[in-house]
Amino acid sequence: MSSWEDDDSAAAAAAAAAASTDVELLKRAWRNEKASPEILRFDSPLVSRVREQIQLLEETLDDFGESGVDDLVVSLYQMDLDRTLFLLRSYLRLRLQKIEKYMMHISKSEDLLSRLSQQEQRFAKSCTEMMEKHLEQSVLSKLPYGYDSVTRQSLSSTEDDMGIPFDLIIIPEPQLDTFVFCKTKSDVGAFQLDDIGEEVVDLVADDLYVLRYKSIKGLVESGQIDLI
Amino acid sequence: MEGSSVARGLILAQINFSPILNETQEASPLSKQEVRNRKQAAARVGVAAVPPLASQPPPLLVFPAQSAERVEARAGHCHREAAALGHRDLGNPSRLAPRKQFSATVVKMAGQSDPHLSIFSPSEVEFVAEDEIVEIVPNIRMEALNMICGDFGPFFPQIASKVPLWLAVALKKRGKCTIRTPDWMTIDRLTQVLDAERESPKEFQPLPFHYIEISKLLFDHARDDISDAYLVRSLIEDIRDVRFHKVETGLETISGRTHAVKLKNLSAMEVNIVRPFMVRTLQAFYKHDSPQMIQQADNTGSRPTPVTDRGPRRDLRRSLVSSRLGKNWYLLTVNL
Repeated sequence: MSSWEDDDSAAAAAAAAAASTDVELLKRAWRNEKASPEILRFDSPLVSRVREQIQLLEETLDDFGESGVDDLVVSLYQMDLDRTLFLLRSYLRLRLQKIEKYMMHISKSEDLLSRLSQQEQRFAKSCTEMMEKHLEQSVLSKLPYGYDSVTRQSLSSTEDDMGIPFDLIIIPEPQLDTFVFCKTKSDVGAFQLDDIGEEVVDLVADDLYVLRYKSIKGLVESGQIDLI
Repeated sequence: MEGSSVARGLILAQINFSPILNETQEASPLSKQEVRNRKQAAARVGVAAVPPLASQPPPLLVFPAQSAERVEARAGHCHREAAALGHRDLGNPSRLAPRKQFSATVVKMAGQSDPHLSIFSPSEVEFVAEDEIVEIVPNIRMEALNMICGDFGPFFPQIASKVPLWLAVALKKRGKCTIRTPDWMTIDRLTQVLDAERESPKEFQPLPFHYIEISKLLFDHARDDISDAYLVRSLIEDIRDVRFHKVETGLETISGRTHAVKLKNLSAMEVNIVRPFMVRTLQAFYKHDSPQMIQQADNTGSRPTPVTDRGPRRDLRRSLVSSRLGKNWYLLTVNL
């Protein structure tokens, strides 16, 4: 990739860390996750920081109950807690939904697997195993040789007539070609939209675009652009 | 936001509608014609949504009514969830009905297929908007609040302080503060915006990203703090209508050569409403106009050029696979 990945993303990350609370960061992760077709990298440090803060506030609220702090203040803190809990749960649940949907696809790629948290990896693994076992027992074991694979239509369909390999076509995959709405955080400059280099868009700060997810993937990962 | 007015607006949203065209690549006349026909048919029955094109892969085809139900069920779930969490704003049952109608309208409009993964519900958009900062004038004294989402206060009577909208609304509901109307929500400013919106058919005026949600929350909970509330409200509704109309006309400019769309100043709720329609339209055009598709359709017998971007070949592959499967079954029968 080009130079923006190194300098700018470091600067952007530093600026974001200084300016945002963990809740802001989690909200951004949640929105990106919701809007992107594929599963994004799990930010373990962020989630554990938010968890800690939630736990801390829960303890504080217990103390408040005993020490007779004003009801109004307690209810305001409670609302703050509820909002954060909602965000965290929604984020985690969203990721589980994605993993469930694309479990086979995820478990065959090291890169995708590495984006999951340890718990999510366990979930993906056991989910895949159960699904395979179920399919095996209910259908595949009764099919003739060559047609009894979970991942392939048939043995011979790994290549077509011209010797061009098929992918493992019966596994659901996220559609990376889809279009997403996104907002730029800073000037990205002329950005190439496709592999061939015919499409160049000048991405200006704080503008809203509808672009193909595939072409801006890198920008989402480096945090230069937010999906909305 | 009433469902009925959304239904009238049908497709909404946007600012500076500038499709970015690839001049070197001609759109396939067939797909253009196809989509034009569908648009016309849709217009005849008063529906702005273009139904999915026939070549859409099967998993994407979900009956609109069905997916609307799913979204509704999900919206309901969201509210219950929020209520269970004690979230006062999201869990308020009196606001459930119009919301349900709202999301159902949106989904029916565009035949969105995958509400679970790709769409924010209106209440989720509002949830995000509740973190916007507003200014309040408290009438009580209160210690500083050190919350997970930030530190606010301390609060002194009659001294303005900045807090997130949800906090302002919570205090307002208990009669502990007045909320200062944001600068942009005054008659003068809104009149200017409305005039400018009307004068520039291609551009959207800068408004807060969550202007629809913020104004709705303020009208619901702090109506008495807004001077000339009635007029302000009707101005905002007019602005919304004008903007929705622009989005609607802007959508007509999308063609096979549109690879990106710039929507400067489009707001969050507007994005959310136009999203399913826009995404599927662009996808359909992209698929039909891809050079690989056209080339392969011309001579299916020759070896397809290897490409890094294999998305558009999907449908073709699918059909190849099914024909292969047929052949194999045939061989199998012979062997037996």
